[in-house]
Amino acid sequence: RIYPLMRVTLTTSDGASVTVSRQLTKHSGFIEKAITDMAVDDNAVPLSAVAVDVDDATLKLVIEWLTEHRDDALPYPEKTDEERRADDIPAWDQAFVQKWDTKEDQQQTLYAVITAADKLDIKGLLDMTCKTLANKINGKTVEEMREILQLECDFTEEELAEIRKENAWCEN
Amino acid sequence: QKRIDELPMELLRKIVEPLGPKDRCNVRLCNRTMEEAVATSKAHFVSARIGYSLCSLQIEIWYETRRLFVNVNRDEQWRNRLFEKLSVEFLTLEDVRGLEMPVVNSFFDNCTFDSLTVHLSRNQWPCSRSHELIRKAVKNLQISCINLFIPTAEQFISISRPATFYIWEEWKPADELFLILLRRGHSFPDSVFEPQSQHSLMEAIKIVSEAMIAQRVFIIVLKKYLCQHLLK
Repeated sequence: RIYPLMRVTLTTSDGASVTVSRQLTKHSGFIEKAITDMAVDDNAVPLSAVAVDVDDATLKLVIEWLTEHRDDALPYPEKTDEERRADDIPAWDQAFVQKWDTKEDQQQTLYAVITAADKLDIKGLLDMTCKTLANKINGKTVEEMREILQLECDFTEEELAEIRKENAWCEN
Repeated sequence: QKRIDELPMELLRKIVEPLGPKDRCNVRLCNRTMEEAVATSKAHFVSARIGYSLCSLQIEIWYETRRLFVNVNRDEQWRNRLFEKLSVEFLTLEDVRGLEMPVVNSFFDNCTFDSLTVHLSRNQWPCSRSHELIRKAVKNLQISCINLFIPTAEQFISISRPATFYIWEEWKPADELFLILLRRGHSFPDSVFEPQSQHSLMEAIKIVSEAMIAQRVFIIVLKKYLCQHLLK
């Protein structure tokens, strides 16, 4: 049973506190487990604080996403193979991620939200952010991928030649 | 500044999971961590067809809206570290003899598929390996009998799970065999069953109407077998 009016205080890794409705936190497997483990009275207002290993700025983004998705069905449905594609991100989510483009380092924000979604066990957010990153490299050359992902090649020339040989079938 | 290759491997696998073969090949070349993520990830193809194209046996792969070919005589290393597990929605095996080829055989390592279509002709009745694949199809199994081929009673009975048989030749099975096949859950959307007795007719209708999974069969009902019970 979830009490929509019940509120949960989350304390972030950088010492901030955010109080949110239980209606939002029910989508986080981590927070729900923490509440269950504390064995608190479900009607307690406010609830004891749950410490989350996420910084304040990232948690605010997570809460923004949770607010939009507060009515999503639970448990999060397992994707079939047919649904496991990267081009089905809902319009609101796409706009949500696009907003980060104005920030100085959009990639950093994306990594931070992916990590937060993983730690807080928010499957819908994790799926969406991973797909967003997959879409960024979809159809790109190796050099473009390295640039987008800010990666440095640590292969030797011989190793690269070996992988290129294995990849040759795909070039035909 | 955090880099993508500092994310946990489990997350990297999830990120590369929706990528098709061409992108996977490119990600492999980025660096060691990304190569490892690709090699240990799952991959999904919309469909795959194992059959002949321009006289050579090929694996045709469809993903998103793109198509790629694996030449089974030449591309021995195609699958090497491109994924660990593979799932295919629609798989077509046009020549079961292809299973003798190492490249085709290795396609099925750690591979699951929802729907399997097997083309069979006189010389190609499933070997033990193809029977194994037939058992593995998660949702649908379709057997298409080509080149004027009609399986024998023993061959039909050797198919251990419900299948949809496409038999292009005129096929007039004995009532007893047809009822056994219906009881096994098979469908025959392209064949017409002409029962030789009212009892067989009633039994066929009873089996299909009580079946747990949908079955399709065409039955010719001779006027002499029509009775009040059936009309109801």
